Amino acid sequence: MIRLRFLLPLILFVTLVLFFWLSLGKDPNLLPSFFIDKPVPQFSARSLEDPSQLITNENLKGKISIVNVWATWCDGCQSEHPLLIDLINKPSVQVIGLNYKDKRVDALQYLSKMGNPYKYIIDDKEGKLAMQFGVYGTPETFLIDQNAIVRYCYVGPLTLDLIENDLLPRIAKLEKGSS
Amino acid sequence: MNSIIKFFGIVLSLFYLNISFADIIDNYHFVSPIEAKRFDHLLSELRCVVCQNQNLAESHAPLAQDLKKEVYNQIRLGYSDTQIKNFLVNRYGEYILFKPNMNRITFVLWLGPVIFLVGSVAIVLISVRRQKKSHSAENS
Repeated sequence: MIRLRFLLPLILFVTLVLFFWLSLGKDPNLLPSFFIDKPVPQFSARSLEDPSQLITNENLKGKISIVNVWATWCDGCQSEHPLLIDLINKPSVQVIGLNYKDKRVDALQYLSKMGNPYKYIIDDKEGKLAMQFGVYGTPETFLIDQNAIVRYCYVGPLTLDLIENDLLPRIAKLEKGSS
Repeated sequence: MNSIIKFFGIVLSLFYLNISFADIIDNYHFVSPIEAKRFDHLLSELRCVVCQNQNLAESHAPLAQDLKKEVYNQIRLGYSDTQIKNFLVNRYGEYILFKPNMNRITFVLWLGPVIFLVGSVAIVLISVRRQKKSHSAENS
């Protein structure tokens, strides 16, 4: 009986340490995306490049999409931009931009100067579409599969390490999954 | 002299006679004071996900302004408080509520402290009783 009394605080302590260990490793400011494994919400938005064109869920079907939320006023977006350009040129993957609360003129100017990695760019001037996706910080990058289901969301600028060791393997998995 | 003072007194008091049918919070106009109260209340219950210790009323973050506008629009469109909260929780998670809903996951969060308290009190009571027993055992 004595042993149990001594053991109990120790067990509690170890449990606490475990919880702290798991939680302290995570950034408290990051919220998990609530769309993982859920279908992309129905949307219809204007294209940045050609305002008469609409971009909808139809554009997502059949291809793996990387939706990148960015803006010219966001420093992190500028740092990840060259990586987006170098990103895979696979026929099964398309990179879609979501220009968040930005000026169309600024955005187009930026892209013509720094290069355009995007197949389509959504003009989300007021951030309304981003709000449907639960976007709370730029840049944010979503990985969406061929059936328009969100599979992964990363908040923050992409890094080479992240792309090579996290994003690309996930894409490869999705490619295998469909075939 | 007296009549001049009286005159200005009346004019001044007219400034205090406001009949406003619109309640204004910041730039948001509500026709019904109930809606205004709901707006106020909801904002205080919703966390700014960018500046996470502030509620939507306090935060100056641009996203907070957007969410405020969204809450305002939804109130005007007739959505209930529950519907508005669900809309936001579906996109930003339980974390956006300062008082998370009670469900399987937040169950631990809500009951944890209670269980902890009850547990510690129980342990203290048991050990005090044990000590008493051993004391009385020694004395007898």
